[in-house]
Amino acid sequence: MTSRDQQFQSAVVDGGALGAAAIAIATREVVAGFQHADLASPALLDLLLGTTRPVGPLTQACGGTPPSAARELLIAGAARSLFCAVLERGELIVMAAPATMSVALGWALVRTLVATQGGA
Amino acid sequence: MRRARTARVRRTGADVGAVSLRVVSSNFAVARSAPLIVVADGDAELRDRVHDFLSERGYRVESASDAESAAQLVVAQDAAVLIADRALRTPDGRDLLSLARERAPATPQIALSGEGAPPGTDPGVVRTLGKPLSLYELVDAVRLAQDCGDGFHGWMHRMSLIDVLQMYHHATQSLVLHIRGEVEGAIALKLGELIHAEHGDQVGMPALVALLTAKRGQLFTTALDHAQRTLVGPFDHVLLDGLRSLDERRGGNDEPPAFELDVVADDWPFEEHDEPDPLDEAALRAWLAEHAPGAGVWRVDPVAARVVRLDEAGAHPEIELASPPGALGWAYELAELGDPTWQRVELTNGPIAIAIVRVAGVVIAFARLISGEAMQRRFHVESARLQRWLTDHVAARAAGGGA
Repeated sequence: MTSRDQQFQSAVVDGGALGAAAIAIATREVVAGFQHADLASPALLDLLLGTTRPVGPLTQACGGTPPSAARELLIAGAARSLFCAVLERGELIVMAAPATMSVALGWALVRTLVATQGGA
Repeated sequence: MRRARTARVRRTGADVGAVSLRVVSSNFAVARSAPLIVVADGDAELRDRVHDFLSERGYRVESASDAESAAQLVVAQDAAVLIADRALRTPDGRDLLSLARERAPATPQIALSGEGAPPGTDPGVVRTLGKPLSLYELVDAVRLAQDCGDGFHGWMHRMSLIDVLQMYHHATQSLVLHIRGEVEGAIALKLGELIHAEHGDQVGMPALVALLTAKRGQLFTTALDHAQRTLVGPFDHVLLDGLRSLDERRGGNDEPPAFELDVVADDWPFEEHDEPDPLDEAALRAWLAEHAPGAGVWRVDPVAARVVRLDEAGAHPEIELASPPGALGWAYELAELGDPTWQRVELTNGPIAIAIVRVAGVVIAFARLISGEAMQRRFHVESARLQRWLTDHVAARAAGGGA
């Protein structure tokens, strides 16, 4: 476990999240994380990062495929919320939290994870 | 008497009867521009009529009077559909349909049969049409054949109507299912959701309930050309409502069910339905004006792929200028992919943040220009508040209290 892994573990455990990971956008490798299995499907990452483009009927009805990449995504479901932040340094931070966690706290935790760098 | 059901509907053939099924499964392929149709028939007048009729409808048409040249045309020009007289054969006795199937197995076929000839079930033949030929039936068959690029088609039996509807729902198909027999009508699905039913003069839920009474019959599918909408709600809810009405009808009293008392076709205009709107849009506008001024707001119908703007267009031009096209649809697709139980999705894309909130089938989107951290935080708070307000509002209206 790297020091960055430990920082992820601290943030997840202390913050009450379910798991988190930093993913290299170019290789899709998890470069740091804690309890990160099944955080987000490859298909979701592809759609978020623009590897595959949205082509559904609603997208077509709204004018077609967006030209720019996403910066942040939150999907709040019945059981959990998924937070994603695309960073300019070529990383994607993904964090899952219980649905009961406030969105403000969730994004604050993500900011904490964004601040972790290197130190492996 | 109402009876509780589980959300997932499953009935046996013995319960609702069985039907024989002419089934066409496809992936709703995008139509190619000016697809080529090859018409092969020994009757020159028929070839000319078909050529003119299909050409007027935007198809490229090539004709052939013999089997060998027709097969060559299909292969050389990558025909989208082959229309062929079943009796057409090569000099060595091979019939055109099997020859073309061997050389171009991906090209769907429409067989023309002599007067009184029984319909064939050749593999590759999407539909068999008798002579004299109805050109309108032919163009329907061509559309169907084009929709058959992928998937299986053929004859099946011992399927209940509900089995078939659930099958197409799970496959998220878009098509029209026609029912023939003791009860006749049609049910349209778009991306697996029930959007329209018709039976005689009835449309919508009354028509669906009437069709669900069918115990036996025949089914066939056609491509979905237009999307008239008379059924509203998720597939399971619509089907459960239909079955519940059916239960009440079968409940032992001889009185006609309530829905038959006030249903007249003329009173059922396009795009309207029998359920009250769970959302008071005026109340939503008022709430947004007070709690989230300056946001662009839309009501989204994901089944019909329709977006209606609720705030005043032009009132917030920065949103139109900054909002990348399709971002709303992108956010919706991400949510569907990420968590089927999603209730709220927020996507920040460039300078715009878009939130979509889904409560009991009501889908509302709003967008805000994000100019800094403070605005971003405000957007998250507004999104959460909107979800809470919408939940309370829909619940209150369902209870009859308004909001």
